[in-house]
Amino acid sequence: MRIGVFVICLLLVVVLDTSLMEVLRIGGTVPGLAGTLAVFLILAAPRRNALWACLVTGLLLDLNVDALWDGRPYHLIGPYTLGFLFGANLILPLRGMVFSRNPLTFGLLTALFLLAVSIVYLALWQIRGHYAGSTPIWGDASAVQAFGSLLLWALYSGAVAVPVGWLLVRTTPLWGFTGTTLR
Amino acid sequence: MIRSLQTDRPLLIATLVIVLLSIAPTGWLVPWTADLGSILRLPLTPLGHAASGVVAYVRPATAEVVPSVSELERILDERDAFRGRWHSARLQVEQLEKELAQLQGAREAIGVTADWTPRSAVVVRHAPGGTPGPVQLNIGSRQGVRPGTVAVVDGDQLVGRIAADVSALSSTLIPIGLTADPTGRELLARITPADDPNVGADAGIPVRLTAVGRGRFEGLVAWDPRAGAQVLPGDQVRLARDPAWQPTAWGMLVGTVVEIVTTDDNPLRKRIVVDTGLLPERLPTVTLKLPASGSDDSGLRTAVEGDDS
Repeated sequence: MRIGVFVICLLLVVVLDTSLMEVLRIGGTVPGLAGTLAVFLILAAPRRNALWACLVTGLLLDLNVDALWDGRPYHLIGPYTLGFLFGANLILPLRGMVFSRNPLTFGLLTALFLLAVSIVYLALWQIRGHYAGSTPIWGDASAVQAFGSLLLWALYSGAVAVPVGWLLVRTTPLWGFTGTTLR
Repeated sequence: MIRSLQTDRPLLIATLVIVLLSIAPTGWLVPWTADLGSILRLPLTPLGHAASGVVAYVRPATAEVVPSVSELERILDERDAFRGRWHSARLQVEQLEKELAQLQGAREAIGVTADWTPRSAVVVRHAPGGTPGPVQLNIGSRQGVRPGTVAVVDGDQLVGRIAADVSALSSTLIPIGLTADPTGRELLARITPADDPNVGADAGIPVRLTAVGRGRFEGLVAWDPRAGAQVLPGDQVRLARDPAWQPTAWGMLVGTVVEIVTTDDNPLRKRIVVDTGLLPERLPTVTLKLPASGSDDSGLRTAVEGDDS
């Protein structure tokens, strides 16, 4: 896998997720593209590369989420990073069973992947809510309400993943994947 | 999952480090994660700036049709500056009137001079996935931004304040009504009729507001059944002389009353719901009210205490 292509795509996706995707907001839900990129790499890249790529993607997302502690901003490293790793390990066994070139596969797997990410994200923030002076990032809303928001985010991102996945499949030759092929 | 990680020892070690970081005490993460994030995001800021412009173009925060973007920006800046200065001047007049009336002991109350300079800042980043939270601005301490600096839009609509740890080229804006911000979830405010020109930090019915999420606040107001309705839906809610905020924020519009609910357990009070009507993630720019050097920073207590610790 060409690292340069991955870095450019990752930076682009993070910029889109943290600013431009706001144009697609419906109610309180804004879709994300990072999950689609991760699913594409899980399906197309060698296992080791895919896991590292998911870790880096999650790490960069974590560094874009500002939490507050005593009025001071900080980034919690872990919710997205571990979530993406967990999601990758959930999707990896499925890649031999799906038609990776089908855009609908991207939609379905991205929703599933982000659902797995949401569970880890929710669990870690919920645990940290018990720390002195720390509140979960969703504030006073209950964990169930937060999960509902994340579920909508996963589903909406899955819908957006259909065209984006189709586009990513077209870029496969650029990535220089070795040892794996999209079915 | 563990088995797949075991085959790649560096990945296993990286994962274990991240697990430890994710459960590390918050106070240990605060001093360095914000800096690390700023450094890693450095190449993304210009792209984020451009993307924010696209968002503002595709889905503007207001539905107004604009003839020219540059002309509108200039007019908006001027309007914001003058409306803000008008409020500032009004506060000064109120203060002087008090001084004259009280004659003695009024000097303690002086501190509402609110000398400030408007500065436009672009919202370059927010949390992915639409999670409500702080947003990143493209100007920092080099441009005069300090912890607690007040951000407004439309001249007098309060957006929030700058968090501690302002870096040289960027700053973090904490929007009002953020329930995840324990230091800023309560506001001292005053309710004024929608068409009352007598706006300011001392006019209207006092109320203590608590953030309930989704840009909304709730508070209890005294209610005399014989006097009729003192508060109506649509009334404006403005920040009172809340010592947790800089004087430049006093008198700014927090939101409007959208609901008045009777509480069974307290018939002499009514619960009001105030909606800010703001979606900070959607705002392309905000106006920062940079206090003049040497002006009163009493409203920074919370933020600076956190900074000093």
